[in-house]
Amino acid sequence: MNNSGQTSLAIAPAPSEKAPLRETTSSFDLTWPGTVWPPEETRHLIGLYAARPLFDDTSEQLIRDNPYCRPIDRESTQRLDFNETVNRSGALGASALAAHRMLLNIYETDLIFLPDKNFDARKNDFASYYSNDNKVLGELIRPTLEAHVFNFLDQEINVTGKWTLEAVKTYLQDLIAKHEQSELEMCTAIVSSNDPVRAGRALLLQLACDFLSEASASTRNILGKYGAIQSEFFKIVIDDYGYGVHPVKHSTLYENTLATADLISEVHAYWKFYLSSTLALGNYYHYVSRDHSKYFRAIGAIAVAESMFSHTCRKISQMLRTVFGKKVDTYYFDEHFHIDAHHGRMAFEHVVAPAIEQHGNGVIPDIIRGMEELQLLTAIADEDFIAQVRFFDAVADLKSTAEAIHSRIVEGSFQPSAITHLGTRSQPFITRVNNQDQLYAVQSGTLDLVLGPDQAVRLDRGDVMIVPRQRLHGTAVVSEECCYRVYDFEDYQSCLS
Amino acid sequence: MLVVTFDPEQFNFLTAGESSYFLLRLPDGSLTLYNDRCDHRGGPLHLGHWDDVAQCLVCPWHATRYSAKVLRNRGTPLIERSGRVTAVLDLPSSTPVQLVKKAILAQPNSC
Repeated sequence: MNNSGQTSLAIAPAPSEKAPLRETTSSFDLTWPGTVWPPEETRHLIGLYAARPLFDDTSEQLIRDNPYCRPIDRESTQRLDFNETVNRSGALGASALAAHRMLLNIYETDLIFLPDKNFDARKNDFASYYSNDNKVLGELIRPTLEAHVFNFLDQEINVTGKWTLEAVKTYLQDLIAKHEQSELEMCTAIVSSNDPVRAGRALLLQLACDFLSEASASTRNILGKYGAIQSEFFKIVIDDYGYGVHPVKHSTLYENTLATADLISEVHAYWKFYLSSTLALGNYYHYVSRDHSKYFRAIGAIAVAESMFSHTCRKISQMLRTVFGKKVDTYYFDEHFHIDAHHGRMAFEHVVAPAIEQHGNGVIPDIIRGMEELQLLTAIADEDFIAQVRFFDAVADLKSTAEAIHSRIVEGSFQPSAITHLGTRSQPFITRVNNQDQLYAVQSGTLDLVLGPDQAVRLDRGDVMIVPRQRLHGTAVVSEECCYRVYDFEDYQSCLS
Repeated sequence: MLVVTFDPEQFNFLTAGESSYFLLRLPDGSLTLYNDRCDHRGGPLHLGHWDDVAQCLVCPWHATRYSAKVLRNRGTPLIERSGRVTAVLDLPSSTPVQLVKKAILAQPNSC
């Protein structure tokens, strides 16, 4: 990508002349979620951020050799409102997806990414991604975006009572015991899907979002000076980093897994196919680790993650061998099955427990909150992934249902709102989710509804298909031009009754 | 210690061994699981009433008062997440537990 024409703060200063900084800061209104910026200013700043050429939509479905190219769907983003916080049901909606894409871009400017090859060709993007313009603008909108996607956790989780270290230990042990008795629903969904290999690959590419830069967010907690638990925390992180031996760095192990499942191991190659809930999980670690007032939430989240990941990895390893056979390298998951049994113990006994002993029971509600927030986001991610796998499997049903509904529309007995699109083959490709069910009806030309990197549903003239709300998909015009209508429904199934 | 998870819409009163606890939704929206036995003479707190002016629970026997802050911070360790609650009781893990739904007269009207 070319950096020329990059929007900069110098060109479009914030706040605008209508609301100069001095006046804005003199009238803080803490009712604006997560920020002291008025909603109008925030909207303007988010618009500027989304308009940065680095985040422009591109025509390719996969992003090769460019860790800085991270499209965020400018057109949709500029229409969305990020000043209201989403509730749990909105956590998979259009604004959450856009906010999480921007947040990951913002957080990861603190990490170093270099392309595997062709650095010269990416030098401008490298400079632009790490530029002060990009970082400062990102920082200005970060609190609003964080509030938009994470404030619902405060509504969903409530911690009260007189907690003690013993109560925390008992609770965590109970949690782990129940987890270790459970089957992982996402693994069951993969194995029982119409195409287990496709579903298995879909899981691996979601996990790539975090695993290819594994533990990077946690490294934010190893700096500073806070006593013995700092050193204990560091031990967990250096395990993840393979003690400086690159072949055993966990991200290297995961690259091997991806390669043996015929997937690309470049950072964010599958950026456009990350589910909102996948981004939410990765962003959450940054959210609680970057803001050090959330340190105790961070160690709670990490303690529960390390404790539960061992069993999760055992199940994923078994599933991968079932689905892919012997060719898949499961060492990443086998290693975690082993080492996270230690990490779970280390995180509790050497970080969480000493933190409570040293800093008092007053830190416990935050530790428990971190444990719960991570579990809730994990549960949402599991539900989202399973729904996406079922979406892959339901194409035939969604087409036949669409035909029944469309015939009612054509005969005039039903008139939902609709927008006609005229697309061309050269138009950029981006994936989206919608907040309502939609029916796609191709009027001329040929359109691919892209559900995943290896799944497209081809629609010719007269073909129709339903895309349920909150299911990630993109559109790619196959013919020179394509005219298609998109109808909106609150609930497509109620249209049949 | 004993961990109990349940649906707070279905149950609001828990008996574990010799001890009883009741759920109370406080005016700030938080949920507390509190020992039903008053610290003073053992009165059944769930049969007390909520004083809207003083923002406290009043025991039905001798009017001992429990502020919202005390109820929130001195209750049983409790987590509410997505319509489920988990309590950690300071009792042996083998203690038999009974969950029931009762009229909690001490429940603040505003919640």
